[in-house]
Amino acid sequence: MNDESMKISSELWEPLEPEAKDAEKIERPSLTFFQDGWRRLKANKVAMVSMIIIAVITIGAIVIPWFWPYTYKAQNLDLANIPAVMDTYPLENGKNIYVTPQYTVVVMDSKGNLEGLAESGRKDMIGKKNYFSVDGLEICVDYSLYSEATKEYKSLEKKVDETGMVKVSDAQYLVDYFAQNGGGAEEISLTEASNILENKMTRVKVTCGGEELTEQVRLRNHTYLLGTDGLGRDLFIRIVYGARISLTVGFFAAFINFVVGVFYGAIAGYIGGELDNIMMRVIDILDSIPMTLYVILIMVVVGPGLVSIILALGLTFWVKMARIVRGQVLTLKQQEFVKAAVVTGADTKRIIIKHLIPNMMGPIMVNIAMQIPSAIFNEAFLSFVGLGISAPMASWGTLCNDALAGIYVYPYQMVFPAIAISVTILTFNLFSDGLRDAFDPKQRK
Amino acid sequence: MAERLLDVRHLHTSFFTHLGEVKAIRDVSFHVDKSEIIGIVGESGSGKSVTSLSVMGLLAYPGKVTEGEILFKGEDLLKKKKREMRKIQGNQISMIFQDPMTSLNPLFTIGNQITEVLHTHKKMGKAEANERAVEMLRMVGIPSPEKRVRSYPHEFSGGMRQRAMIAMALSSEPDLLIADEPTTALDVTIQAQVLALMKELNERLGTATILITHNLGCASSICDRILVMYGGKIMEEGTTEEIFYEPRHPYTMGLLNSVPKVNGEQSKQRLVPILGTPPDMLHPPTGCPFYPRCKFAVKACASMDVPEFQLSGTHRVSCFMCHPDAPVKEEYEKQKGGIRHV
Amino acid sequence: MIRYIIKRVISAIITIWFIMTLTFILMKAIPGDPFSSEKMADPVIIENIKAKYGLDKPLIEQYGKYLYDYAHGDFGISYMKKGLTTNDIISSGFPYSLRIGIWASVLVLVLGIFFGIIAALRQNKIIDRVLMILATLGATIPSFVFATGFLFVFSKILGWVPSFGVDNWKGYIGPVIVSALFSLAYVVRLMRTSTLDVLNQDYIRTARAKGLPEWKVMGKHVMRNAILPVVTYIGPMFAALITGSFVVEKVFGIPGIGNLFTNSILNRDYTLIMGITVFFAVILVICILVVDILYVLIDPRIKYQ
Repeated sequence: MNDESMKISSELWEPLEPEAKDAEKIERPSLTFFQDGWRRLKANKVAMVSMIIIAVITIGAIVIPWFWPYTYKAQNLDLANIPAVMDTYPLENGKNIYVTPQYTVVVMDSKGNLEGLAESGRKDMIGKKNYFSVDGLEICVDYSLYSEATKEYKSLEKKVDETGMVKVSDAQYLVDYFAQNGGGAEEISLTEASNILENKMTRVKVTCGGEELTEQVRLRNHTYLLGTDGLGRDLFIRIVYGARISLTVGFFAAFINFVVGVFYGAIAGYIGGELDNIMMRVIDILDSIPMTLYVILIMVVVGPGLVSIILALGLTFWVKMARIVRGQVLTLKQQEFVKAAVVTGADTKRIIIKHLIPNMMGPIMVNIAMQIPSAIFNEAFLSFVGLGISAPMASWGTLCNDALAGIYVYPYQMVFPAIAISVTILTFNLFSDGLRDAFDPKQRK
Repeated sequence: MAERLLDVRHLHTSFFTHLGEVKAIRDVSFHVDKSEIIGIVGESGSGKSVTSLSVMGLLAYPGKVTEGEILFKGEDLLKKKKREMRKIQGNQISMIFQDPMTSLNPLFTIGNQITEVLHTHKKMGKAEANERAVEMLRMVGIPSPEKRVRSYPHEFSGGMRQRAMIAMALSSEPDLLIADEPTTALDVTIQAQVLALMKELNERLGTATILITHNLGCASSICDRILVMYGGKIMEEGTTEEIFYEPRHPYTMGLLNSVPKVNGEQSKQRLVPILGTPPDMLHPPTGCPFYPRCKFAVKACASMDVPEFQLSGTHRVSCFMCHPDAPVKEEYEKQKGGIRHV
Repeated sequence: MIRYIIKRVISAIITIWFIMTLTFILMKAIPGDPFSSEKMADPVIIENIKAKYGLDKPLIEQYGKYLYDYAHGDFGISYMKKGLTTNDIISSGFPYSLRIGIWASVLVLVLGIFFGIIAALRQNKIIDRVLMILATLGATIPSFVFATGFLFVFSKILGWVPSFGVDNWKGYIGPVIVSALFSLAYVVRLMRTSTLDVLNQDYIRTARAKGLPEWKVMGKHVMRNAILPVVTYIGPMFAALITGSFVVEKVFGIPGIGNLFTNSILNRDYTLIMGITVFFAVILVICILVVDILYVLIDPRIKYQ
C-alpha cells in the first residue's frame, strides 16, 4: 500500500473545517400538523380535483335556484317527458318538430326553444295516423309501421323453431329493415327480431302537407337543459334541489355523528373502568344490528321527511366514530401532556375539550369525511324505496324511483340523477381517501 | 488455511426508490471460513442487514445487487436461477431474524414450521420429520419438546421463539447460518442464553455463522472475527482481539467508547457517544462516509476514495489515519489501545 | 372451545333479546295505532279488532306475550294481509332472497379473493390500477343505478334476460350480479390490503428464507393469513345478501323478503315489520356466530383472548 499512487498532496492533510462537515445537511422547514397534512393533500391530484368538484356542486346547489327560471314544482303537462336531446324534423317555415313516443308533436324553433304542443287535429285510429297543424301546415304522424310490425312479431313468436330462430321472410318489417340497412341473413334469432322491432327500425312516418319528411336534425333542448319529467317539471332544477337535500343530509348527519360519536367515545375512553365496559357493550350490541334496518324503523316512527332522515342517519351511524375516538383517547391519555393537565387541576370536561379532541382531529376529520358519502348513499337508497323525501320535493333517490317506471322509454330521466349521485358519492369518497392519506396514514386500509 | 465457505467480492446493492437510487452497500468484500463465527457490527442503516439479505437472495423489490460476486462453495449465487437458489436457501444457508415475535407464522404450529423445511429439502416423511423436529427442539433447550412441537408461536415466550427459530434454521444441517440481530428484541438475560446456545451449537455442529448485530459486546462474546460496517462500506475488519485492543478506525474507536465498561478503573470513565447521525444513503457523502462525524477528518477524507490498509493478515482498515504520511494526532494515538486505553 | 361457544351463544341470545325489545319499543312509540287511520266509525269494531290482536291489554303483558310467542317461533298475524300469518309471508318470500343471496355470496368470495390477490401481487401495475378503479366504482355507484343499467343493457337492448321476475334461471343473473357488486368491491379491496400487509410480514420472509417453493409460500403462509379479515366480513355480508336487497328486488320485480319488508313498511303492517325485523336480526346474529366459531378454527390465537 505504499506505492507512489498513494501519495497525497500536503494541503489535503489539513483538518476539515466543521462547516464543511455540515454541508450535506438539508434543513427541512418545520410544519404544524395541519400544514403538513394540507401539503400532502395538495400533492394528491385526485383528491384536489374531487375537492373542486364537491365545491362546484355545493355552490351550484346553493346559488342556481336563485336565478333559474323554473322551480322544482312548476308543472307544464303539455311539455312532459321531453328529453334533453331530440331528433327533430325541420319544417319549411324554420320551425322544427319533435315526435314524442306517444305520437304527439312538439314544436320548437330551429335552435331548440320549445314553443309547445302542436294543435291537434283529426285522429285516425284505424289508419293509425295522427294529424296536427303547425302554423297552418298540416303534419301527419303515421305510426302504422310500428303497430303492423308488432303484429308481425307476435306471429313470429308462434313460428319460432327449437333453436330460437325465425325466418326473415315471415315478417315484412324485417324484410324492410334489411332492405334499408343492408345485410341480413335468411334466419335470425327471435331476440334479434325483437331488438330490431324495439330499438332499430323506423317507427313513424312523418309527412308535412302530404310530403314525407326524411331529413332529421339533432337539437339540444334549449328550454329545459336536461329535459322534463313525467309532469313537465324541469329535470335540471329538480336535480339541483336533489343536491341541496343530499348535501344537507350528508353534512348534518356527519355533524350529529361527530357530536354523539366523539363525546361518547371520549367519555368511555377517558373515564374508563366499569363505565367504559358498559358503554362498549352497548356499542357491541348496536353494532350487531343492521343499521339500515334501524334507520328504516326510525323513519317509520318519525315519519318521512328531510329532518327525520337526518335524525335517523345521525343517530345510528355514530358507532364507528365512537370506537375510533375511544381508541385514540386510550392512547392519548397515557401521554405526558394529559397528565400535566390533570396535575394542574383541569377538570375532565376541560381535558377532553381542550387537550384530547384537538389532538384527535386527524382521525375525526377523516371519519367525518367518510360518513358524508355514506349518509348521501343511504338517503338516496331510502328515497328510492319510497321511505325518504316525498313529492313534490325532489331528492336524487326519488328522481330515480320516478324514472324507474319509464326507464325503457325515457332513460334520460334515470341517467341524469344517477350520474349526479354517482359523481357526488365518488368524489366524496376519493376526497376522503385523500384526506385519510394526508392526515391519518395509519388508518389506511 | 481454513477452507473458504463464503466469499463476497465487491458487492454493491441498491434500492431503486421513487426518490432515486439508494446505494445501501458500496463495494463490500469479506469471507467466511468453514465453522467460524464472524460478526458484522454497525448502526442501523449501515447496510449490515442488506448484506445478509443479498447473500440469501432475499432482497425484496426494489432492492437489487448491482455489482459483485457472492461465491458459496466456489459457486456464484448471483448467477443462480431462483429455483436453484431455493435448494440452497434453508438447506445449505439458513437465516434467523431479529424479531422472533413476528418471524414465525402465527397460524401454524412450531412443529409444522420446522417439518416443512425437512419435507422440502430432505424429502423426509411425516413421522421422521416430526421426530427430527422434536430432537431439534430438545437440542436448543426447549423443555418437553414432544408437547411443545404441537404448540403455536403465541404460546411461546420471546426467548423460546428465538430458540425455535434456531431449531428450524439448523434442522436441515446447513453449512452457514446467518443470524440477523437474533438477540436485539430479547431481554438481556435471554440474550446471553441465546448467544451461548449459538456458540455451543457452532462447536457441536460446525455450522459457520454470520452474526449481525449493532452491539459490539454481543459480537465479542462469540465471534472469531468482526467486520465493522458504516454507510454501506466496511470500515475495519479484524479478529475480535484486533478490533477490541488495536482499533485503527475512528468509528470503531467511537463504538468501543460507547460500550459501557464494568470492570476496575475504566468503569469510572464516562461513556462517549458518537455525535451526529448516520449519512443519508440517498445522497451519500463522497469519500469516507464517516467524515462528517469524525474528529480526525482531513480534507482528503471528503474528497478522495479511501483505500484499504492491510495492517496484518487479518486486520484491514479504510482510514487515512493509517496512511504513512498522516499527521500524528495525540488523541488518535491514545485511542489505539482500544478498550485498554486509559 | 366449548366454553367459548357457550359464551358466544349466550351473548347472541342477549343481542336478539335487545333487538326485540328495541323493535317493540319503536313500534309502540308510533303515534296512534294502525286501525285509527282507517275510517271505521264504530268504536265497537275497533275495540273488537284491538282485542283480536291483543292490543287492549297493558303494554307489559303485550310485551310478555310477544317474547313468549317469538321464542316459540310464532311471529303473529299480519294486520293488513287478511288471514295470513307473518310466518307464512316470510316463508313465501325468503326462498327467493336466499337463493339470490347464496349465489351472490359465492360470486363475492370466489371473485373477490381471486382479484384481491391478483391486485396485491401486481401492486401498482396496470391490472391493479384497473381493478382498484372498478372496485371504487363498485363501492360508489348505488345498486339501483347498476340494476337499472343492467336491465337496460341486457334486457332492453340485448334481450338476453327477462326484464321482470324470476321464472327461469336467467332471471336470477341480474339480481345475483347486482347484489354481489357492492360486497365484491369491498372484498377485493380488503383482500388486496390484507395480502399486501401479509406479504410484508417477517414470517413470509422466514418462509422464503427456508427455501419453500413459491406456491407453498403463497398458498400456505400468505393465503391463510390474508383471508382472516375476509372471514370476519363473511358473516354480516352473507346475512345482508340472503335477507334480500330492497332495491334489487324492487327493480327486478322479485317477490323476495326485501320487497315484503318495504311493502310492510309502506302499508304500516306492524306485526309484519316486527316479524321481519326480528327475523333479519336472528339471521344476522346466527351468521356472525357461525363465522366467529369458524374463525377460532382458523386462528389459534383467538382461543386465549
